[in-house]
Amino acid sequence: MKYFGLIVCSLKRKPLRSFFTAASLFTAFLLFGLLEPVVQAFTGGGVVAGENRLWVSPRHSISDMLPVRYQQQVQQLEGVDIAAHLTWFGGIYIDPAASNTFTRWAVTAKEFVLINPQISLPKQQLQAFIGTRTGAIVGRSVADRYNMKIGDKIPITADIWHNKDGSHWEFDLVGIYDSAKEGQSDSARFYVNYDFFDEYRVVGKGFVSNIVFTIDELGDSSTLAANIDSMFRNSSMETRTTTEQEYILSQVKQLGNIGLIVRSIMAAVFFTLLLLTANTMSQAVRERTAELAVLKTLGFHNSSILLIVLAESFVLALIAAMLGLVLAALLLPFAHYVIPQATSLRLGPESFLLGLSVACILALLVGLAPAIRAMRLNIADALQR
Amino acid sequence: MSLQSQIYSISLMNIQNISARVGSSMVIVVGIGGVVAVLVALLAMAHGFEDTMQGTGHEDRVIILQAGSNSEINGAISFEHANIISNKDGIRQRASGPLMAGESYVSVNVSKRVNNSPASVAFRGVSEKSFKVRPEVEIVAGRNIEFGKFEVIVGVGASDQLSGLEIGSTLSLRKAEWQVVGVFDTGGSIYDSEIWTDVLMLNSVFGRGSTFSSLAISLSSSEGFDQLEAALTSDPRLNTKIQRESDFYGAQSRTTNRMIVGVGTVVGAIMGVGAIFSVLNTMYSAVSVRSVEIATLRALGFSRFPIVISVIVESMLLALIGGCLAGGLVFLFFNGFTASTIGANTQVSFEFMVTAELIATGIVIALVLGAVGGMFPAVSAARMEITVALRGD
Amino acid sequence: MSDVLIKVSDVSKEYRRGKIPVPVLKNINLSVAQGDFLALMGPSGSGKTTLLNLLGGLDQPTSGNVEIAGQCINKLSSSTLATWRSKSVGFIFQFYNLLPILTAQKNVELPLLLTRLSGAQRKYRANTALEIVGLAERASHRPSELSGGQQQRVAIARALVSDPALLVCDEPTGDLDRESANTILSLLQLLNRDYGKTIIMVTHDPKAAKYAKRSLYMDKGCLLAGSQILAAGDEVTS
Repeated sequence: MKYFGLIVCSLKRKPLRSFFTAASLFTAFLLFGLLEPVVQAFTGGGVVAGENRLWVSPRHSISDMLPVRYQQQVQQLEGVDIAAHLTWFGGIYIDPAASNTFTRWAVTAKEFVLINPQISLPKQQLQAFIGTRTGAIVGRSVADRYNMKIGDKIPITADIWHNKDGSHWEFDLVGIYDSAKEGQSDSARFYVNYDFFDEYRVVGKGFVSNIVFTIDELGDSSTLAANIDSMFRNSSMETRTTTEQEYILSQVKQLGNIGLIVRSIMAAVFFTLLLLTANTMSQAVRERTAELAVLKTLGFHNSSILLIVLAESFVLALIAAMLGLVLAALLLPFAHYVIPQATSLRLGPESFLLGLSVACILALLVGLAPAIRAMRLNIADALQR
Repeated sequence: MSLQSQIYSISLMNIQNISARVGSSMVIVVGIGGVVAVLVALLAMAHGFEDTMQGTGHEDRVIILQAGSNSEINGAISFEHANIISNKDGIRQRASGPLMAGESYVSVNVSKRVNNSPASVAFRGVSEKSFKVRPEVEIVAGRNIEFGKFEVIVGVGASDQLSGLEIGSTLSLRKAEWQVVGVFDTGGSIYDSEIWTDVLMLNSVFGRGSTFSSLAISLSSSEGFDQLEAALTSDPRLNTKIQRESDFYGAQSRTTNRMIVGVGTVVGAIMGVGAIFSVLNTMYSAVSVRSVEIATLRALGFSRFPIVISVIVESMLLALIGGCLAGGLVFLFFNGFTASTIGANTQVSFEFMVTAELIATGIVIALVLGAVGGMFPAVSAARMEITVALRGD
Repeated sequence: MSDVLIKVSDVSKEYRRGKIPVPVLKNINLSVAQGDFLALMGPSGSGKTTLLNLLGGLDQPTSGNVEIAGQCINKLSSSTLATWRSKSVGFIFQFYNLLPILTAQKNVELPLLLTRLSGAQRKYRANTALEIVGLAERASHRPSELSGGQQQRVAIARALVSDPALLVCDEPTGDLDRESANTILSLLQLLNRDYGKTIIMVTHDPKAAKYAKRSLYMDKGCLLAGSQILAAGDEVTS
């Protein structure tokens, strides 16, 4: 657009001011880009959970466990495709900080692979996992992070599951898997063989943490969930069966209203920013009253003047927002230095678009009044010095 | 004119001028105020959380757990071992016997009021001695439990944050019906987030057999800790570890605490940078608007230095106003605000603590931001060529 | 001899200060032929600038008609008027009113942004205009790098670039020294004589008025009776 030169020219008029305004906007959008994924994580927004995956958990307490026979009972139900059991292993790997970056579980290898189609594990490694009692597999992100190689011995110090010899466990790393699920903690996991684990542990033998199952075409998730829960209502351990999405969300909700707090911070930041840039914009337009009047004398329509002033505001806001969001996206992979569990925060395209929309709204709010004032300038008055 | 009086008179002039530039001055006040408000609020949250976790700071209270356990939720100490320990040196004695209480700890799911989602809450079985070891426990509504019955008392934080815990209501756990008979307050510790009942009732319903999760002990003296620790280590029958109560809970809160402080610092730092740019913007334009004034002052004989100082003084003053307003507002709105989040395994309800210290920190930060933001425009003001400025742009 | 370009019929203009109307122009009647060079003189507050603004389509009269090239410009909507201005009139101000960040050439090109000409065509026209005013070699200089006289010449080039029939000047030499002023005035004479531009110039300097073909006087919002051709040496009382 040929008017672009005019817009750039007016921004260059007081370069320091344009720079500072852009810089303030930039920091606001940097914050937005960093915090929005956090909000998404804490409100379960970014979760893409399997719609047809359900979790069976002990109803009353996280310290309860389910008898391992529940897995067979669930598997035999009509509508259930594959049922697998999972047991939380926990323990400390190196130190608490490192341990917080991934989770550790005991599973039965065959069912585990069947129920996780998004995981790709080379055939020999799977065979090794099945065939080695003390075998373990780990997600690639963890392996890369801690330099684990196939053949390494991985030591874990138990915090819950003591074994016959005390609290020291050692596993042989026989496989490294990749997950097709992008941006989730799917590959931040470490799996050991349940049989070895159950035999070697001292307490809780025969008990597992959860049953996870998938439904086939005949199955309906809410009916199945209700059936399972009523099936176990009168047995030793009552269950609560929910979709994977609900399960993850309920964990996240335990953190409280973090989403609200973070969004309030962002609102405060943007409100402040609105004031700042509105002030700057109207000041800038006021200084250029004579110039704008001259443009009118030359024959520029009122509507063109309106658009030129608005365009300045938009150009500044959008460039600053773009840069801020891009920097945020680049920094997010390092978020775990501040929040250890935040290993998979990513700035998704929806968040990016949201950020740019906010920038446009801001630009409109800030630029509209000065733009209208400019448009309505009475030429004769404005030209008086 | 002396340096001081120069600074004084110019600053006075500038300050009187502020009313003419309310709009742009407000920018500094609001911009810096915003940064301080966010920082103080987040730090108040971290402070409140940590404070609760550390408890009422009883130096003479210890917890004994099974060796190798990191939290009360894992591990067990048999009644027999507990008995052995009760005879060791280091425990405070009373007429009724040693001040040691065996307790059992499980987590149960109760819904949070704020989002109606099930949360893990601490369910603690206590003995009669528990109330002697923890004299700060006060029943503030209803009555205490009767031992041997399915009755519970609820911590004031738990009753605040969770639903269904009113006096008279029933809690259904593990096929037993527990009646809520009272609310207790410890004056700000993690116990306020818990639900308490008779340890023997809990053990029987939750299948804990004849074991405690932990022992809470009041030490006899300042040497009590070492005495007791030595006694425990030297006894081959025992497999336990001892920790001061404040250390134990402090360790549990460390991760969450670090996270809150970390996030608060990062957010505050980024906002601070943004605020500096706002200040720079405002002060630069303030200076350019006043360039004729400044040049006139210089022509009249005022030296550069007081001019620089006066600009910085002005921006610091505005920043101070912003910081004080922010501190005041955060105190008004957030002090005492209760929230609840996950601690080590279970919910911990805590209060935002907006202390005088935090507000002071906020104000200092505001002043620093004001000074930094005012410095560059101030120097550019002083460097202006008098003749150029007097010609009026 | 020539056709009438401007016909002002019974024009009055008043401003409102709150509830009180302040009359600035009272029943002005004026006729300007094509190719005329008219100087409008009078004390400050006489309304000459206001009349000039009306002739340039920058303002509308409270009553009466301003007809230029057969069109009643006071009846046009603001956007049509804007378009009319871009084609029909060029402005020259006392304080030049150039855009400080743009180069001389870009300043001159400014009116052409409203046309459909390509970048190359605009550049060509701008350079041509600069040549006419004798500043072609300063095309890439910013206003801050030019003297007052040079800036005014750039402003004149800008006023010329869309080839309007009418040039409207408000105290064009008010801010210049004698030598530069003469240069400007000679340039205006040239544009009038050789390029046929109709020029209306507001000035309070009798020496400047001598460069025009005729002068009119205003006082207190009225045109003084009759047209007079100033003889050399006559003074004007202010």
